Amino acid sequence: MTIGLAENGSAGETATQDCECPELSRDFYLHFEKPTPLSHRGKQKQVYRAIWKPIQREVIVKYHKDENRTALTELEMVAHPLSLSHPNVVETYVVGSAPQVFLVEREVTPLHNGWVLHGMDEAVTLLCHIARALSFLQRKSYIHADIKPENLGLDRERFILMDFGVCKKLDKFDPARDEAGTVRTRAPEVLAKSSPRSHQSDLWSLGASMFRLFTQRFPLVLDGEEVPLDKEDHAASDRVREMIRQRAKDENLWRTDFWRHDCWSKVPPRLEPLIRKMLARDPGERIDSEGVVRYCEEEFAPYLLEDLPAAPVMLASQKEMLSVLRALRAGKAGVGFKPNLRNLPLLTRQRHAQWLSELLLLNHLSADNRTFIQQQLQELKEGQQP
Amino acid sequence: MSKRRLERVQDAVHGLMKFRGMETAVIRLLETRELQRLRRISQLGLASLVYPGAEHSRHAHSLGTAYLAIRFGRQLQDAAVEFLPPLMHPGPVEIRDLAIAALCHDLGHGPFSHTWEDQCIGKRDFDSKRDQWAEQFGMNSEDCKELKWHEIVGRGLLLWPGGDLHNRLKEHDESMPRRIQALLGGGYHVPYLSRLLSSDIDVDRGDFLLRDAIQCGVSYGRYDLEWLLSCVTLGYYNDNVVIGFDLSKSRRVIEEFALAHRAHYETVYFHHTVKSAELMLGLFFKRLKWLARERREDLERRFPRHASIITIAAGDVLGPEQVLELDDVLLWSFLSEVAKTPREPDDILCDLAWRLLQRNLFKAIELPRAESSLPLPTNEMLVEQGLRLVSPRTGRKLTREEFREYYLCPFNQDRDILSTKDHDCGFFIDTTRPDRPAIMIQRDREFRALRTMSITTSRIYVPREVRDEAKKILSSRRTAE
Repeated sequence: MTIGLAENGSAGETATQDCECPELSRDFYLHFEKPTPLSHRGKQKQVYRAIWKPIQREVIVKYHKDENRTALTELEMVAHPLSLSHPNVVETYVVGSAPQVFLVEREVTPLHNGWVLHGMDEAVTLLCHIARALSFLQRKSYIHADIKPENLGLDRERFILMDFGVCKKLDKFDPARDEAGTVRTRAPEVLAKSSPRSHQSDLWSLGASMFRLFTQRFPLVLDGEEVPLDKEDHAASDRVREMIRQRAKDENLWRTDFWRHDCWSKVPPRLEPLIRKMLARDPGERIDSEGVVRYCEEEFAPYLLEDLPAAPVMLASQKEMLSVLRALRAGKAGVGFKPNLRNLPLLTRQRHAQWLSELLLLNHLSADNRTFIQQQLQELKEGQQP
Repeated sequence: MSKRRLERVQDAVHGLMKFRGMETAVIRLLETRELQRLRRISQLGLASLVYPGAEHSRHAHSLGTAYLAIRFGRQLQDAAVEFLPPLMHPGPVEIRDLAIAALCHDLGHGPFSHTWEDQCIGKRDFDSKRDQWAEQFGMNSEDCKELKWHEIVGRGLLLWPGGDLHNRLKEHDESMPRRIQALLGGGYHVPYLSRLLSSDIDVDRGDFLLRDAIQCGVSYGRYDLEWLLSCVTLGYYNDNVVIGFDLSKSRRVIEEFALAHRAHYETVYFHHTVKSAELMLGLFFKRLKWLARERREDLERRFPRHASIITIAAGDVLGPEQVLELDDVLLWSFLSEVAKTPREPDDILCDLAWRLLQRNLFKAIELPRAESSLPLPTNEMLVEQGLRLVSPRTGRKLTREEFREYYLCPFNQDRDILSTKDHDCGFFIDTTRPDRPAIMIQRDREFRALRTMSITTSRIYVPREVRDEAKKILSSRRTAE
């Protein structure tokens, strides 16, 4: 039984759910509750969505299955850059003590594989924000090595770089063995193993991701070709991977097919020169992240969303959530705030959708409020249809 | 902190105007045809015939209004954080939208601004063609019922797919043209922002009062803008969030603003000579419309470069591409062409054009308020004197009807200082109370006098040659009555 959220924020009884994750340790349940697994079970690294008890909000939790392993080693590699926070890097916290530590991340809406960029506002803001994150990593001598649309997220009009699972210091990558990250956005010199990973290879991946978000194809993947997904391990995928590697080495193909492809017409003309500089075959000719940031700030200032409030608090208080809900209710009744959801700017629509989604995560929400919020979310989704 | 791009523009009213980051979109939009056209449309119409400095354009005013919108918007961001939930805060995108809407609020004005709309388009003629104009600009007739001509044209230009402005707005995102239109016409997702664009105390008046005063060289239009900015805040009126001004701090500046508004109208906009020129232009168009009904093809043949003016005079509507041709330059050149030959196409038309070009304007005779509603003096002596003293340059004798139609002009106009309607009135906000109630300015005890203060003007305009005789005749008529 649930009771609707009262005006003063107090809540009544809630139904409890049985935990379906017996593999989780007691340590896990000290800090978290109501876990939902997100990754394939059996892998070394486990990923769950769970409620973080001290703040009663859902977060993403990552940890190593093997308790005997000194998880700190990985976390040193992974969490270190993240512990120095940057507004465009996913908010991360380390919870627990050795040997079982948990990596807690704020859940951010990822740009799914079919995401299409609509308009310069969104494109420039995304490009500049992620380039700033990469510039931050570069200053710390880290390479992300897995930039792809799914690892870019949106959190209230701020674009976020996520998933530092293969992130390492520059000198830790072994070009002979390194197969980390997706082949779809891997830089040509890394595919051809002619150069080690570098900051420039991250820039190529970002450029490839932007290309994908405009054109719905990856630069070195042909139309209709089945893209090997990271988690699959099929022989067919190996064959496609090899073909992509060969393309990366083929200079003629590069000049003709890729550089002159019709898809470029889907990239906004004003952004095309910058994206091409990011996708230069020779890493030495590629623009760097600082260059991308400067370019966006100087040439595309009218489109670049800035002046955001200070980095958002991890989770809003219940009182704040109530005031949002009250405002939305008043709007629906035609009083006060009347959002014309279909005409909202794209980024504002996403911000509203995030607020609404966060409201749904509240534990003690009445059925009536829940229905109302779901209707609003549906209207927002419909408003996104072209 | 990133280094944001900065655009700077020097302005006679606001000094150094700075546009940062997303606000620089305003500067980029100035490059479009639709906004460049505003350089060729004077803000004060024919007022430069009286105030030589009054030659500033709608372009300068639009940019100044956009800058004021940004300044007010930034103040509102601070105010909103105090008591509104985050969903209702104006963010950077909303401030940019507000600035662009302010930039585009006068997009649809014709040559000589309000003079064109009042005298050339004409209210009655426009009402009969409103639906056609709406259709021509891709607007819904239902949405255009209360709109003036320049508002329909302006909003239509925002949505015109063939326009530079529309396409440049769409570059930002697909919904931007519709959002700007919603800000101007209602329905924006942060609804209280629209009041900044149209109300008793809005950014439009905020700019033109200062600008017109400076350019005309009069002292009446000045007020303390910085203090006004510091007082803007948000409150509740009938459960709606509204923009208003802090009750405890803004009384004097609001009073100053309202009185400046009134003084400005009396001394500049309703100046008897300014009105004379405007009314003469109206008479010119009245004659042109009559001619266009009788001899449209002849007019089009004689004035091929002014086809758009002939089309409107003939009662047809123009499309967006043709409207972009309409500016002061076109109208002055048309007057000049017409005035060249005294006989063709029509001697009265030519005479009126010539008088305007030579600043040989009609003279005003003030009428007491009580007389303003009476029919035009039918005193035969006035008409006889007129026929004796006035003739076109051809020397032809006018008929009585022609004299009454084109050489006698009454003028009677009322204007309220404060609006009486909820949707565009100004508010005080009582910030000492947690519920922040908004009180309409005109209902405040101290401001009731302002509410009832209206500018009333009643005059009759006659050609200069007849003025002395007309004065004698009118005063003897009053004595007899």
